[in-house]
Amino acid sequence: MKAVVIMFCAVLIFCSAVWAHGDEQHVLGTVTKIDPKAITVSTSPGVEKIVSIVPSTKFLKDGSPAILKDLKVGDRVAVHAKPKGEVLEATEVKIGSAKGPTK
Amino acid sequence: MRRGRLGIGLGVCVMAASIMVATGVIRHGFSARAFPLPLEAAIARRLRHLAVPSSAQTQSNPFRAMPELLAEARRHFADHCAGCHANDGSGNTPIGQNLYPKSPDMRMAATQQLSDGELYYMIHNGIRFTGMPAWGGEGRDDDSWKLVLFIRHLPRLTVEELKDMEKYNPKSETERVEEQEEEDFLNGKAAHPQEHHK
Repeated sequence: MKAVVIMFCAVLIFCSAVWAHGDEQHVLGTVTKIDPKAITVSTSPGVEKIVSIVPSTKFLKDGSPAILKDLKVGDRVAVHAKPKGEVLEATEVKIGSAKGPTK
Repeated sequence: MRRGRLGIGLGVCVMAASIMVATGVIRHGFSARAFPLPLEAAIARRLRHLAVPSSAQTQSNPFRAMPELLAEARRHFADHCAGCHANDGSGNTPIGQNLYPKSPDMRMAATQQLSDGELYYMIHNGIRFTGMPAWGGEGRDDDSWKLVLFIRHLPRLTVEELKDMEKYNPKSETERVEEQEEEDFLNGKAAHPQEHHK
């Protein structure tokens, strides 16, 4: 009886799990501007994307943990970001060893 | 007398749960985007605890946290569990954060304070009405006990261990190609590829 009551409660409380597609975006390009709260990335000639930097944003350089200060204008980056309202919020910023604008 | 009190208590729980669910469904439908209310989460945790037999809760881990066992469990976790729970156990993955309920941050007290037996029971048997499947077969499964060791280790996971785990995360062919394109771009071997939407 106890088990039946427990199961009934659980049925009422939980909803079924639903698999969903992620909404993560990968932005690849060259850094053109760095602010404490955002970086601007040129993804192709004349096209720039602004990505927000938040406390949880992880930075990686050559596969090792890095910080925002390691990032310089002209660095190539691969930014993994999620849309939050109107802005893109970076979850991870990989800093490349190559410099210069994208071809 | 005690049974009567238990019955009343459970009745109140059922009524409260029904009202909460009805209110939630009216407001949000059955969307998995919602976050459970604190009371709903507390009741669910309590019910989950009650659903684990007391004999299972008091079981102790037959394995000790030796480095080689932790390494084995870490790679197993990366391969089987990280898709929902993330390598670091934070639950911060596209699947984990879009389930209802969300994958918990297993480094936190709510998970770490569970007994070894309880953790084993949940891995072995799964948790109904969540995204957690039953991983164990018939009888005792050593892999689940080793995973319990790894869950205990999660709050002290190192950067090197996390990096090692990435090699064992399942990847589709598309993800492999994307990673290679990113790597080539970052190393200057290629012009920028197209943006990817995951």
